[in-house]
Amino acid sequence: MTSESNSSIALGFCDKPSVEAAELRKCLSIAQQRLLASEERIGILEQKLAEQTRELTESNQALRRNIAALEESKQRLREREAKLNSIFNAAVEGIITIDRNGCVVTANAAIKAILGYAEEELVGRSINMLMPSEQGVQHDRHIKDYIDHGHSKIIGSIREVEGLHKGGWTVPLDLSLAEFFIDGEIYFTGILRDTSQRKLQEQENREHLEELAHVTRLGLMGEMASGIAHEVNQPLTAIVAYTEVSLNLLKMPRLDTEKLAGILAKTHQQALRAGQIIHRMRDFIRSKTATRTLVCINQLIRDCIGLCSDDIKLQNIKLGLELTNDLPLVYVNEVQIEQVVLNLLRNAIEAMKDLAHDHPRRLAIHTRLDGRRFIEIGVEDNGPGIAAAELAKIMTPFYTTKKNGMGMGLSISRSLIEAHHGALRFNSLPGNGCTFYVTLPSKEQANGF
Amino acid sequence: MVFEQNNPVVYLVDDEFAIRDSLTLLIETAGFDVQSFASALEFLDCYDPERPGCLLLDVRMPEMSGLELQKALNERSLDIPIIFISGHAEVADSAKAFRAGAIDFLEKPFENSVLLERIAEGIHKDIYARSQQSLKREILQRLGQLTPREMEVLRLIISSHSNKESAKILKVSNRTVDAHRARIMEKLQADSLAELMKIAMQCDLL
Repeated sequence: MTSESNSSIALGFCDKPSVEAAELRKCLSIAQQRLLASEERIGILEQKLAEQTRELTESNQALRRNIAALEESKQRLREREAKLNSIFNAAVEGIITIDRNGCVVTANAAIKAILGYAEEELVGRSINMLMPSEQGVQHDRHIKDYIDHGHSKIIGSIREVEGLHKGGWTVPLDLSLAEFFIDGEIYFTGILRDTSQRKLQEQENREHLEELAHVTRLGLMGEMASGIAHEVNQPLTAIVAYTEVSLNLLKMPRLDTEKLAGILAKTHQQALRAGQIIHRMRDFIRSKTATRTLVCINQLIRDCIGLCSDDIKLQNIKLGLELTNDLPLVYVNEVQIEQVVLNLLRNAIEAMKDLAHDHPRRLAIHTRLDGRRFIEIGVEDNGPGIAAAELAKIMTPFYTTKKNGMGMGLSISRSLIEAHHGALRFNSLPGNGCTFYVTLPSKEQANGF
Repeated sequence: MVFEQNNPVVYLVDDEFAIRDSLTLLIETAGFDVQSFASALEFLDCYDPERPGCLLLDVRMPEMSGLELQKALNERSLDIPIIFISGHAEVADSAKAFRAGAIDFLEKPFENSVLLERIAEGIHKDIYARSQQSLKREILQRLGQLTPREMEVLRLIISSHSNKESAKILKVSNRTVDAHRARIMEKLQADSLAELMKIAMQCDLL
């Protein structure tokens, strides 16, 4: 429609009364305007339709791409699962998953190698069947506690436990635990390593160290024999004199029983003293010392000083003791720790031997608790110290600066202390003495190992 | 226990209480006075050289050992007889002790009878030495009374010169020598030539 056709229609009515014509023209004009507006809208709609079509095509394409990607990731997931599965079953470590009730969900092939059960023998059954009976009861409680209260020190750490083999014997294991959730349900996965071989090796190392310690202990005792003999001869001399006096008293016409009783009591004391020295020495040279006991470290140090007192006296050494009272006990092999302390004392005493005659000699021994519940023993001398060139070597086996030394003392001492989860270190100021420090876990601390 | 000033005394030096206590009892039971000391220095502080006695001495002691004390006594010319007692006798120690004049070196524990015998021996030796000493002192004092001329005559007599020979050497008359000789005999309280010779020996003139 054009404006030209509109005007020809309008001309046809012009001869009629002009009011009508005017009306008509007006209506026409409105109709024309509406028409124009409709045409415009149609145009916009057409444009929108085109846009939507394009968008639809695009999203269709995107969808296709997504489907392809999904297919690919499905494939990758399948590959990953196959890979994990092969790792799961090829792992040397046993991997076993249980649900909240302690029932086995999965177990890998290594479980069979370690504990004798195949997966199908385990799935659906309680994990307790893999534990020595007394542990099984506790285990149920541990799981319940953990689910209820949510704290456990065993998640995420490695523990040493015992497993029960299908054949009925126990197997030493390292166990680490992880937890995970599927659909709100908790599961636990345990990874088990068979430590029999390692245990055996450790046992052999321990026995070896013990034998070596015994040999060096015998050597140490040999070096100290003359001093100890002197220590025993003192009370014996007193006993011989006291008993002679007692015999003389008995021959007197009037027996002074009070005096006699006093002398006999003193004789008794001296005999006990001689016996104690012998006991201490015998304990020290024992070969079998495998058991650990709760030991008061201050008493142990005093006993060691007792075995060296002759040398301390002879060299005119001033002994300074700073032993902290009320230290916690240590759980140790007493003889071995005694050996270490004795070794440090003897080293300190010998270090001061060649000082000038009038040079004051000081041997200071302290014990204290350090912040981390370790007990520290310090043995300090004011001898010549350790030459810089020797610092690195003194802990090595068979290295010695002594004329008659074997060179095993410090190296054995360090091994013994490390076997107790402790440490042996030293500080030396050349020309100004040397301090050795032994740290040992206290009883409370040792329980954690 | 009351100590008579000139009673012999057994000094005991040992740093070990049980040894001092038991040996003191033992030695007192045998009838001797005992003074015991825990260290060599303590002994040196209290030792009265005028009093006869003997010293029972431990070898190994802190600060000053028994051997060092023996040396210190020798250096001060204090000749008290020493019996060493030792917990572990070492040859080198005992040799040193004997060379420096020790009576004995007993290893602990020892036979009490041996110890008491040695103590008696030591005290006897000290008393004898002291009597010899005082005799010597007395003779030396008498010797000091001689004039230089008389000393000259005495030296000639004891080197076996007759009166005549002496007179000739001194270029004096026989009678003068006779007079000198008489005064010498008188001053030295000697009755015969033999006694004169003995005195001369004691005073190291021979």
